[in-house]
Amino acid sequence: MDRRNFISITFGSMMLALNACRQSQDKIVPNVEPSRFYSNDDYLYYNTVLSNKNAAFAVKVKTKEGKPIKIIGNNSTQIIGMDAKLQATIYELLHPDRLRMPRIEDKESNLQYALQKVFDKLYNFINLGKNIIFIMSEHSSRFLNKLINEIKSLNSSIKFFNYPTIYSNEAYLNSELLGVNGEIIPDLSNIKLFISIEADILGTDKFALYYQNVISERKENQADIKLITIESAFTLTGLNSNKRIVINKNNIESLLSDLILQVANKLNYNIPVKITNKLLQIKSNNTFDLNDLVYDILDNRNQVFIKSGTVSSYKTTALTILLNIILNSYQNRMYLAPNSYDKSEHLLELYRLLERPKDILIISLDTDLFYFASSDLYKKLLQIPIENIISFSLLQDSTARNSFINIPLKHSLECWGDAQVLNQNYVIRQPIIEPLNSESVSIEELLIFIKSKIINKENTNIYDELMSSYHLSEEEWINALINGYINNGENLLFNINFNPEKFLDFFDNDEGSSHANLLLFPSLYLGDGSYSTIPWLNELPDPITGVCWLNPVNISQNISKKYDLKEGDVIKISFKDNAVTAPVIINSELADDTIVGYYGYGRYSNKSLPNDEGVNFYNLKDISSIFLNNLLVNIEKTQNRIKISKIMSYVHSNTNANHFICDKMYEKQHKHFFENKKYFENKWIMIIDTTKCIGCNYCILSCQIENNIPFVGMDEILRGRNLHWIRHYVIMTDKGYRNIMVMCQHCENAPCEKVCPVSASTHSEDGLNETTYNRCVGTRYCITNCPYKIRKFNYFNYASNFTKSLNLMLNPSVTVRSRGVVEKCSFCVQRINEYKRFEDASEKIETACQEACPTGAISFLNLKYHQDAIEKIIGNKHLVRLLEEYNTGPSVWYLL
Amino acid sequence: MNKSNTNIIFKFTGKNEFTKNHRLNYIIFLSISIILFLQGAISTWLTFSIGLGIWGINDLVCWAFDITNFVFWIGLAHSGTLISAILLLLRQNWRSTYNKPAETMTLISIVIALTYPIIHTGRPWLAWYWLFPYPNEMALMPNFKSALIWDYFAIPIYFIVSLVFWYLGMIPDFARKSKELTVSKLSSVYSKLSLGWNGNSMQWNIFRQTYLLLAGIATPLVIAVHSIVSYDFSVTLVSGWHLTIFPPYFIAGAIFSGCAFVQVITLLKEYFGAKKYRISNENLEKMNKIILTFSLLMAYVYITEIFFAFYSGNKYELNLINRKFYGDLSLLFFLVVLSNFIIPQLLWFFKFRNSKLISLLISLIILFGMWLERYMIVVGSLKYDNLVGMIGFYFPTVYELSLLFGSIGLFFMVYLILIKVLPMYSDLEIEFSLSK
Repeated sequence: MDRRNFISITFGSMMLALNACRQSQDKIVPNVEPSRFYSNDDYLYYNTVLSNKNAAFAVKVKTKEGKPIKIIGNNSTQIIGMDAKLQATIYELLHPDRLRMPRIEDKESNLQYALQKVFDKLYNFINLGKNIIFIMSEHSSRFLNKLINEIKSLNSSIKFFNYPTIYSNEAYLNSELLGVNGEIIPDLSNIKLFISIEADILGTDKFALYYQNVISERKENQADIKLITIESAFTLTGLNSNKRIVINKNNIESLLSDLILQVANKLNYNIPVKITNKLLQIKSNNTFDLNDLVYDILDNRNQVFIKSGTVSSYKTTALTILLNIILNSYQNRMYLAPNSYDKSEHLLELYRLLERPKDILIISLDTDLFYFASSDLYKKLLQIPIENIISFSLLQDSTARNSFINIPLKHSLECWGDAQVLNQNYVIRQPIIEPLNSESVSIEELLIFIKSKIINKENTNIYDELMSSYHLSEEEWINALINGYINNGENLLFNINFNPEKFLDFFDNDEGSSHANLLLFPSLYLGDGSYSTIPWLNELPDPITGVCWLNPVNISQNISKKYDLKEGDVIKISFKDNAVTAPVIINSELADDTIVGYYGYGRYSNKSLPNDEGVNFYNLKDISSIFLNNLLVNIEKTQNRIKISKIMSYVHSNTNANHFICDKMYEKQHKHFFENKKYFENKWIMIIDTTKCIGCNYCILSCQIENNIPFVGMDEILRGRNLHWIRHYVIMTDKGYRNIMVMCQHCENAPCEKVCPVSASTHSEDGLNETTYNRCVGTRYCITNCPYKIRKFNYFNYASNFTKSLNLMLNPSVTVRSRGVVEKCSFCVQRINEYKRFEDASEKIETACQEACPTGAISFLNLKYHQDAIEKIIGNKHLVRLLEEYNTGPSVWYLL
Repeated sequence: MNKSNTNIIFKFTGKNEFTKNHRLNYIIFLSISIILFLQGAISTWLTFSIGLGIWGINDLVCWAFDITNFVFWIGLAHSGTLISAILLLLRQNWRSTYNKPAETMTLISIVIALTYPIIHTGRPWLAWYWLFPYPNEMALMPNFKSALIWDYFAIPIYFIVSLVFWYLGMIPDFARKSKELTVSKLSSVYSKLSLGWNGNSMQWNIFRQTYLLLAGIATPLVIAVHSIVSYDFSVTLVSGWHLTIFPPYFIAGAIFSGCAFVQVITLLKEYFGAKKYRISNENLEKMNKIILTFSLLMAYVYITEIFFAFYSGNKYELNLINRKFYGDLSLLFFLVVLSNFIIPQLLWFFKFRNSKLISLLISLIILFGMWLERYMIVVGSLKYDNLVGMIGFYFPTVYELSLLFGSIGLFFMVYLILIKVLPMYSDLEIEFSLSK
């Protein structure tokens, strides 16, 4: 081909190509309409179960594109709202410090090899006839129980201990006095009067979510339950009870004895003479007038339940049981907390085995034994040769550091399992997400592996094992997964046989002299310490003191005077040979000579959690006090001082709440609240019922998770900054304490909107007060002008606290805010928008805080469509808006 | 200046109270200023790069030193124009002692004041132009309801008018300087700056008319700009800010602190600057009388504030007054009253009024008191919110203090350089007056 031809062909083809590339002349329409059917940005919900020790709750996990992003309650199991601890497990799943590889003696290894190594070790010990001790936390899994029993039956030298980090005296005494193995949880739906003797049922109790639900449900149905608290500490239960009797710990027993004698006298109940004599002897100290209490009890005869708490002494617990027996309270419907007590696994047995430390193999399953151990148990654990300690854990905790073989565990959102929830139904735990780390194993898988190895069989699949253990058909199984629970045909009832012979056994210990009573509660948000690795929970303020990141001891006013203590002073608390130092805060609501401490702190320090300077109270205890959560301690002032990190949420017992609860004239004129002429589509309002709100702060955490709010750390809290979109505080009214949750009030006449120079704060067509993060330049003018001061500012790039793995946890529908930007509650505008896109706006939607509220105190409604519902919610309660005199027209209404 | 005015406005009778080695002192003073400025610049850079978190501001007290300094400097700026413009309009010829330092001070102070609102924003790299209503495809406009936007316009306008006023007043002096310094290289610079001034009667005529006109424009501007600054506070709902008296209150305060500052820097200029002229005691006394008047005015405002609280019966305002007398603000309030009202009363005495040292000391105390007053307004009001239990706290960090001292350093650095470079006494005006 010559040159000319080549050029002409080239150009000719180019012309053709250009011609062919012309756009069609006809009008075409691209497919840009959002479609409900094949979009992959839908949220999918899965039912599963999560548990804090043996308290399991059925939950729904909200996922997007396969990632779990939120944990909410499963309505079909009559539980609304969600415990903060369980909500925050989503953080644990993606924790930056999660173990990546199995480790054998500081060397990384692979899972197969490490498991083989574990089994070799175990087999070696079986052959030698030495004891193998599996230590695990309390659980409520039937499947796990089955596996444990199978393994136990294979070889007697394998022992399992459900290590109770916070020992329940009640469970022990129930088994001794009533012949019931476990802690009794009353079904409150038939009970009219609940007397809590130091039991923090609404706060630190493992089953708090259940109690919170039931009590609020009773309020809803106008069949109010009367809650009387007798305590020396100041708990959330005391805060929310109808009557709180503050009494010194030493006098509770005498009060109870007096009460028992008076009630028995009125009911003509015959108490054995021996017991009566003892009661008369104890009663003599009582100075409290019990008339009202006795009449209350007699009025609600057969519908009373009295419960003692974890801090109660044996005497108090025994007296409580006796009172319940006299009042016939055990005839009501009750539940037994699953696996809460087993004689053969008693801790004393574990101590006995540890007497010969060389001859045992310790396998710790998700239990940070070295942290939870009391001082002498710790010493004993150190005597065990390190080759004989194997740990399975999620993170690099102290037990993992002290073990020879350390294997990463699967998170409970990653593996199959099951659990028994309180109403005795079973719930299957589904793996919501494929294990992030393939070199990990779940406890169930491990036990199956060991079982099959011992009997020399092929390793079976956990799914098949679990499914076959329930004997369900394929269809029933799928239904169980969809509904989230399996109906348990087993009988709920159990027999109570009171054994008065043993009653007096618990009365012969005498008390030494001491300065003060130390009451040790589990922490409200960190539990016994198993949740202390989650910074979100560390940052949640204690509803009573407002303290976060630390666990200072609360001391009563007379102690502070006696030792000249101010907030932040560090004291030395000594019990027998052990001592800890702890900062103090003064709580005027405590009974005299009372100190309240919280477990769960001082466990974990790592780069992602640099501030864990809390006190580990487990160190204070020894073998004699291992079962006690109330210690008679001596205290001593030290020269040190610590700054206590606090978020504003104090109890204002002395403040006059009048200027908060606005003038009477507004209470009668609600009509102007309902003016909504401006809006033709929607007008969203939130109603918060303070008569129901118990101040648990679960909503704050739910809001944080939903809206990608980072934690800020203790240093920032000390500087007076936090990013919580909801603020909690307690006020004193003539009707008692009231918890007030303040979020952005979405004012009609918003002061923040007027002052923003760049129009980043605007009013939406739905009456929402919107913040455009991209437009905000951070003058903070809106913060100064907000009368509720609920707008938060990103002083640093707090979002960088979401390190790489945590990015997966973020809600994809919400922006992550950068440095220098103001943010605040948006009424979960992402949910509203999603809803408006696909659904009829006249239906109800839920905000994140409402979703987590266990008492149903928060309602989110549309003023245009839900007039009747709003009227119904308001009922005859006082309707107020905050700082009405400013005429800001808030969209958040409070019922008092 | 004015033909009919034949008063001798300048006398050479002032007692020289400064006899030290001026040159060395100048260098030391300038070096200290430069060091202060540099450390302030470092803090600014750190604030930009790390974030506002390095300051002590928090959730409740989210404005503190930044806005205090802003109001303080913008207040200082105002008296400069007041002395030049208002006194010119009122035919107070003694102003020529003070007017050039005061105008220079105005310019430097405005620039310093302008930097604070920029630094204090969360995203200063956007804030400096996002407040401007430039056309854009998103059709985004700033919010003209916001007092900050008014600030954003008012202060640059004020800066421009002050700059023109300042420059215009120096044109004859530039011409004169260029003639005096025939050898120096600066001469050509001065010559260019003098815009071909040859001093003929037509030029003088136009000059005087323009100068008067600019003074006429600047005077309402002083009132307007500082009213707008006070609107930043008074349009909000914060108790202690939400007062109608704020515009006159702020203007009085601004002039008060400004006069004190002018007194300080004029005496300083006399100390470091040209030896040719000194402030006459007569003029010193006149300025001190103005300071005394405004001190009484400030006292009136404080009383009015208290009266407002009691008259309205507003519980939030009453609470604030209570805090000022018995609560956490009592020390601050006491210091403010002491330095802004009680100590300036010394100026009733002729002896004190005539002493340059005493005047300097009193002026410095007033400046301190006025800064504290702004601090009390900004931080004291934000510390307590109206909802129960909203009690905040505020402690300044090193960076905030460093920014405050940095701004002082910047001021004196520029000022000390300018008094050596620019014609600081309007020689012509003075000679013109003397020749009459």
